[in-house]
Amino acid sequence: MEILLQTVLSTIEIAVFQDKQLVFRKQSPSLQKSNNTVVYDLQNMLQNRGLPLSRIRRFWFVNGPGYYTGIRIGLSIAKAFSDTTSIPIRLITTFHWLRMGIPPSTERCCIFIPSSKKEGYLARMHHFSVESVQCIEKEQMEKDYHSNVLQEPLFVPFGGLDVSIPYAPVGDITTLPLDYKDVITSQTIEPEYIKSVDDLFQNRKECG
Amino acid sequence: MKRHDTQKIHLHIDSEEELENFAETFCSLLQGDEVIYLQGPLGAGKTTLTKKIAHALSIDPHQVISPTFVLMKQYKAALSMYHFDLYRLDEEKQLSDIDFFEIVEYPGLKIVEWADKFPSLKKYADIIITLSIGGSSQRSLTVQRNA
Amino acid sequence: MYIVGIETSCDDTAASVINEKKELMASILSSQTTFHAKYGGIVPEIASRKHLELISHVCQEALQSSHIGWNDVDLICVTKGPGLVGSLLVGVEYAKAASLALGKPIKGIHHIEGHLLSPSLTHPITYPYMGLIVSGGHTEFVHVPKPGSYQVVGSTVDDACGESLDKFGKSIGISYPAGPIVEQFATQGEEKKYPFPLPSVRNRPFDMSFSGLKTAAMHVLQKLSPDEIENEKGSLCASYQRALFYHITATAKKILASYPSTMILLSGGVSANQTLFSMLQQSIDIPVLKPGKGLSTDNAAMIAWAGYCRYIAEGSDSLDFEVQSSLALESYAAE
Repeated sequence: MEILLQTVLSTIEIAVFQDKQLVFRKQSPSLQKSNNTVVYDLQNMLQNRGLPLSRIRRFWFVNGPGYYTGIRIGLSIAKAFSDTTSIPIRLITTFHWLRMGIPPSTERCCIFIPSSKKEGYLARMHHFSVESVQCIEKEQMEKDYHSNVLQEPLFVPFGGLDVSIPYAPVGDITTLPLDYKDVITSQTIEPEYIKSVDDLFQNRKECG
Repeated sequence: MKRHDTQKIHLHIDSEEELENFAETFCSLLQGDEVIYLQGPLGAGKTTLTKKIAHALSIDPHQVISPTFVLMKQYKAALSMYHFDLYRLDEEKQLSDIDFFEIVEYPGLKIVEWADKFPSLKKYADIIITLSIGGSSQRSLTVQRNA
Repeated sequence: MYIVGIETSCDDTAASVINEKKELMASILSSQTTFHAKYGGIVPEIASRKHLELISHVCQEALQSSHIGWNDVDLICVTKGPGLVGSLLVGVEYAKAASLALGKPIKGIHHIEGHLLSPSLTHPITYPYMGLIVSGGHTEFVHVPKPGSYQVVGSTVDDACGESLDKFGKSIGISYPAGPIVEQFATQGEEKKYPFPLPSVRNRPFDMSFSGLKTAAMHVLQKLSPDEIENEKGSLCASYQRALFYHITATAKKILASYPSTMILLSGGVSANQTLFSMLQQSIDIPVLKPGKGLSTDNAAMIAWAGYCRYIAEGSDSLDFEVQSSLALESYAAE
């Protein structure tokens, strides 16, 4: 049994996998993250299933991009689990997590994650590889979409954009194959994460 | 025809009562989601004005104290109010560390002191109020909408 | 019984271990030179990012210094407010996750309660007592008639006194943290040379206002040349300090006349200031106590201790308690 916690988007998620199949998922709207109940919900979920934490084979944490507050929440939990148990922790970017909800037959796609009212991160992906990430103003991205500059299908999480852009609601699919070979992993939590947050900040600077 | 990007209003305030009246009128004109920058030197009355605005929103003004040390305080009444003080920040990257960019999107009023330390923040403001000191309880206020 | 305390409400990342006999086994702060010599970083650091980088290390250091592991820990205590939300969240989420993973109880603690109880870690205390917290972010009088019962009877309505000292220090060229340096300069000057005014708060005799003091100081400084400011540093600091502390002491006397107390418990960063301590001792008949070394400024030992006291009285918290940037002490105590 493996558990994934995603706290970086405006809807946070707990997802449970058994033999690479998604068996349970809880999504909670959470814009103001100070009142999140991720750990409490996780505790309830485990108790309802009669599962002690020690039975969990691996924990996955989505480590960004997304809301900084959410990233901090997720990784604080990850560090605590890492320090207090011997359960392996794996990190996965938001792009890779969302890509899992897109049909595998889609060879190339774009995924846009809003990082504020005006901007976000646009990744171009080829299957599970992120080919490029750019920080882009939402207005510019909407223009590009409408004028077919993007070329590939565009996906956004949980309605993160204007309703004027039709989007595939990523994350509605109930069976997600978790193929370990294709996702980013990390043995230790700190160094990987710090690099990515600093990188994200660099991107933000270039943006505006 | 020359268009003005920003419209400015100049006011002279001679007493605390006048400041209170200003705050009440000012708040009644707001929608409730604005980002307001308060600019001016130490002692100009930025926190005092924030208290008056809080009072107009039915938040106890005595609870509103300077957020210099804690960097941001949040108050809840019918409307939420977020009170930032960027005095202690030295670098732009610290703005992410206090979740500035996220909180400016939250519903409620966001009041920011010392935003003028970081020119790149100007685009996030809806209204900028500049205060300057006249005499002991006299202040000049310039209120402008941000383009 | 081993109790871990975690405190991330503002700048410092702190963890500590105490036992039920009030023995302090470790108190680690990220601002300590020994800590950041080992892990790097600049002091002081304003950053929730820093909290995330350091939380694991401070906790590990605290446990190692105490010669225990996480499996030996019986209770986890963490500051849930007031403070900066992004910073508080790091400590709280870490603590909640540790509590879940270990199956151990957890307590979410009010930062001010930690300060209020900190002198009792090292000194016997008697009730009722008056707590006086004086720090960069807080200046308040809290009456404690019996354990766990708090009434905020007077506080600043604008600047905190530590903040006031810092802003004044900065305006005469002293860098952060200015408080201790202002104190040093003050010993070389004449405290009555610059009579700064002491405004009171209309209709609120137990509250204090320091922003007028700041404005008055700015007026005085505007009339002096940079050379004059340099030469007059001692007297400027002495006079400013005197006005600030006189304001606090006079308010203390007024409050104690209405709220009988057996002692004053001083805490917060400015409690380390000897001038304030002496002024209080001289003006007040009851004993003035301050916390042991290293426990005046923000620390996690006070959180562990407050958490232990609450746990004995109330049991564990459930994992859904919230982080709050503004948390009123009375409503917290009433929960």
